[in-house]
Amino acid sequence: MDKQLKRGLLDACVLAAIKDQDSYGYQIIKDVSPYVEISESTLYPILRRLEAARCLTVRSVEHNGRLRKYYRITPAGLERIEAFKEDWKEIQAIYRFIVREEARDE
Amino acid sequence: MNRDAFLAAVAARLQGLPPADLQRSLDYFREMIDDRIEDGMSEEEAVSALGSPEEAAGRILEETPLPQLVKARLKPSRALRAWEIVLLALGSPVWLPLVLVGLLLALLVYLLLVLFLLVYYTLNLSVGAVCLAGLWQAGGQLFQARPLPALMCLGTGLAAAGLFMLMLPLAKQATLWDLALWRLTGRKIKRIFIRKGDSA
Repeated sequence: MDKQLKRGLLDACVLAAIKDQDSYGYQIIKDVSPYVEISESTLYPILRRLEAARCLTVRSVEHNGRLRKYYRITPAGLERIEAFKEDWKEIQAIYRFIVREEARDE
Repeated sequence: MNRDAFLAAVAARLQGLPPADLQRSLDYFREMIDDRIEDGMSEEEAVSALGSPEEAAGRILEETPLPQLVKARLKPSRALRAWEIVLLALGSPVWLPLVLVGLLLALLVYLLLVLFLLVYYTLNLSVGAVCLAGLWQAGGQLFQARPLPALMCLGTGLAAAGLFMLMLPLAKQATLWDLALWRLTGRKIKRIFIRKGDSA
């Protein structure tokens, strides 16, 4: 898949994974990986990027005697998901256009 | 590879980044390994599931802003020895002008590109202005019941309009090329610094 496209998709997937309840790194990987290939090395920069864009906040919670970071979505993050859905409608329209052109060529 | 060896390998490749950023990265990977162990994996399995330390560090460096990356990479990992400082100082009449000339040349090439773009824009805009002026004049001449000059002005105006339309797509394309070139150069420079760190 195109690198830029996948980057946008992954951002939306990570936000979707924390949309309903706060989540932590490993849980996000488990939730997202059935749909898109995502590794720990890929997730870390995405979380940093989304935090810098104020789409999520981070807090440390004690868990079994160590710290675990939980990520919570912000209103800006929810907006980002909505923007993604809007973009997707446009992409679907473009897809239908492309497929129609192909059908005519055959 | 066990957890500590993995984290040490990542840390070695992220050397020079701000300490807080480095600590955050290591905390993140430590948490990931611990969570996998808690999930029932052995330490070895948990570490190998994360992939190679090179890849983990590489992804972080790719997302690091260029100025920070350069700063991190140029920070020497050890203090310079006395003879190295002497050599650098003695050699400065040679290497300093060379570096400066190189930088200036790069800047010049980029400025030239921008200049071309500006000249083209100006040209395009003036053609647009000729078009408007021609049409305006045509109206004026017609109003004063002079059909021949009016026709000439109309012709000039329409020709300029055509030329304007022809020139416009190239102006847009040239701007996009310029932006793409700029991004590519940034990425290339970044690559050099990331690779330099890996071989070190």
